Amino acid sequence: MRRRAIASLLIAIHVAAVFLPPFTFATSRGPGEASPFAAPLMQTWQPYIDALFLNHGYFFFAPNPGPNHLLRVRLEFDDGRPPEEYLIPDRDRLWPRLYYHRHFMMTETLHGLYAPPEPPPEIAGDPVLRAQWREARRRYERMREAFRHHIQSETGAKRVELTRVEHRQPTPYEYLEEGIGLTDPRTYRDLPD
Amino acid sequence: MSVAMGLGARGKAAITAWDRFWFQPELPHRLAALRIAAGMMLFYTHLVWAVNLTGFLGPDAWIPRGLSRDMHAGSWSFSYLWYVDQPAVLWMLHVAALVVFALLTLGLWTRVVSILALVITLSYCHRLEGSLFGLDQFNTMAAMYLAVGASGGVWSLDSWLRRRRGDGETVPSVSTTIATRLWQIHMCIIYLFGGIGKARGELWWDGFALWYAAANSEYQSVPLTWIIYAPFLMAFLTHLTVFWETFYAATIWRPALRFWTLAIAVLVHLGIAVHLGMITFGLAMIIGNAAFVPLAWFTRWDRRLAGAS
Repeated sequence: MRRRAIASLLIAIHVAAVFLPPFTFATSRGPGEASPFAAPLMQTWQPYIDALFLNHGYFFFAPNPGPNHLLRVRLEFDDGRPPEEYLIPDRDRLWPRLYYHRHFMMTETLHGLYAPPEPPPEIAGDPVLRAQWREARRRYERMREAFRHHIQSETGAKRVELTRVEHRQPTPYEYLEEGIGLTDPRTYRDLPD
Repeated sequence: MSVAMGLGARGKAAITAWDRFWFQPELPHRLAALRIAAGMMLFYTHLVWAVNLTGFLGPDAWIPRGLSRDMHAGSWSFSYLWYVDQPAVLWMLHVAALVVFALLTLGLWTRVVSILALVITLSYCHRLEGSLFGLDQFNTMAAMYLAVGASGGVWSLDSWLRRRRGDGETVPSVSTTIATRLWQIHMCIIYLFGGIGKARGELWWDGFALWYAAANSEYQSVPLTWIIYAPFLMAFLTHLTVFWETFYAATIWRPALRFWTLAIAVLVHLGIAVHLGMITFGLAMIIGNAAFVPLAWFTRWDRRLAGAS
């Protein structure tokens, strides 16, 4: 009976740890803005959640299936090879599909970390928000530089230029009435660094 | 007095139901089937890292280990891969990891390798943050619950060796029940928030979400863009996905609705595998749903296999 009581307590703790991250995510307006009910509970369970890799929102293709974020790579060599340009992820270069998907997730992660090079005007007078922006920008630049360094080491290029690219889906109207296909150049746009 | 007695009876009934749900010993067949399927998925997932192991874990990795550690600064996560990036050591560790996943699938020294498999899976996930997606969430879930239950009790080299020693009896265990129940509840939570997340998007309400998934060329494999010429079907499948996910946690427990809930799960995830190019994730979620297939189905298979041999 006592063993079952202890097991029940452990089960309850674990189920709460599975439930709390998506609950906190679903009840958040933005980073650090979770509901006053979810936030302290999440904080209490955080060590357990971190250790067991449970911090997920499970918002697959939600709230809406949105555009994708890719990376255009331009390589310049100093050994006479002509410059190369390609997109990551590229299905022709990356196989098997899971390997392709790993690269796809990395370009999405880089996009997710993006913070503009200058602080937005609306936070100019707020030292806390400015510090958060500075840290966010530092994280973004660090990952972008890591990507650049990796590509340089793999290709032997003298210069690696990275551009974030957004690729959106054509709307049904564009597809049906204007004949805009899924990879039409008009569905791509370069994003600022 | 009668109110108090009524409450007491209800409380007692709740405790009995809780006890039956979590602690009624269960035969290992269902968890063993999950072990074999999830073990293969864990093996394949990690095998694919070998396509460019040093590119992901080496000194010039996409995300070097120092950056990976900093991404987890202040967190309680751990990865032994934060402490190595020398190619020779990485390859040694990687081959060892693949051996552990192979042993888990085959069910040899299952108790130990299931715990090792969890440590390895968590370490890869924490080290490779940035290149992960739903598949890795499934893998960790599966490794976690396989480490809890007696998944090697049957259909394993362990059970074969036990039979050879004359100790071949397959016994039900409480740990198997707990592992299976945790797996099932975890699946319910995934779908509940998958549904809630979609319910917040207007495309999932106006019926066009499926188009925007189908028209996503980075995901697309077998084209599904023809769905735009069948707007009734497109909108129906969009709405069905939201309602099926949101109410999965309720319908899956009702015997009368379980078959249909699982049938939709298989169709949705096969669709993801075939049309959205996420073959591994689609298959992983189908494996996840197998935790709800009644135990009797697996034991029947066991009797058939025993009869055939």
